[in-house]
Amino acid sequence: MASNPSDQAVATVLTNEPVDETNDERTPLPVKIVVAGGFAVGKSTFVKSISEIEPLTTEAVMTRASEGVDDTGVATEKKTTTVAMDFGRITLGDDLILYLFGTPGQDRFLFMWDDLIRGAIGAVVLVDTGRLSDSFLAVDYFERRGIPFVVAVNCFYGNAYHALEEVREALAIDADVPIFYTDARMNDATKNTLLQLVQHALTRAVS
Amino acid sequence: MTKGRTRPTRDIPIETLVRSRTSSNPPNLGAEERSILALVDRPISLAEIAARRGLVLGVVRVLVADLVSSGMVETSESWSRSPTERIAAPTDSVPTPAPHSHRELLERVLNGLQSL
Repeated sequence: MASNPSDQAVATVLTNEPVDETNDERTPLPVKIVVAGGFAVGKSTFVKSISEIEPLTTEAVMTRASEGVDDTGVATEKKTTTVAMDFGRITLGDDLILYLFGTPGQDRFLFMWDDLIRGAIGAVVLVDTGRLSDSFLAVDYFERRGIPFVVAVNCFYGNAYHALEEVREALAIDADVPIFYTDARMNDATKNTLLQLVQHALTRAVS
Repeated sequence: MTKGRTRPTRDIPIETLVRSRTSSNPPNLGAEERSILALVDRPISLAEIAARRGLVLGVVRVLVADLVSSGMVETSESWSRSPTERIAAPTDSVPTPAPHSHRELLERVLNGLQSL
């Protein structure tokens, strides 16, 4: 909770300055893409490979009270459980900032996704072919809600244990959902993954 | 810190940018509010404020909502309040934006990513 000393020093300097002229400029518009998939599938690596800042972690308290549900029946330990979400930032110009949010991996935090996905451009579902079933939940989630998504099969070291069409069949992915290989560690591959998602969202928005 | 409230007075999406509207710190602000004000001289997202201050998201939502109410900060527009939210949350009462704005924005994002 405590601010570190250097932050407080900055605050002191700022309060002695007149109102910053840049405050007259329009505040950029933030947009977001959600990066989903099973636990430890490479979501944080994916975000890190393209984020302009060292990825940060934000925490939300896991309690239904924040959703307006009476929490008197909720076990005490649930009230104190926090859910961590990694995120990164990509500035796309003076007036546009893209945020990438990794979903909390465990299934029991699925309700958190509703808040996270609200207003998102869409989602990237990362798949580890060694643990295909871990990604089924994410695919199912976005399909049910009609949210644009692409399936990116993460290939560390160029190894894929399944052909793309096998993955599509195994996870019951609709024919119009793009599926392709990516490498969450590589900036180029990550960028291409995001491009494919935005293009897919655009195609759906036009049609 | 949040005076016992658990729900923000405004629902602020996680990616919303927060920006200061004042150059001075009123004396009656709490330590957490002051620490937020010190971060938002440049626009910074709700998620970043929470991460950089070690506060949970819900607390930051409440504090930022208070700062908005008192006119000390302003928040960006958010896409969460418009096109795709209508799909995800049909009960939302925000006016429907023109259909072309959704595509325009996606094209801007596409162009921005291609230029990286």
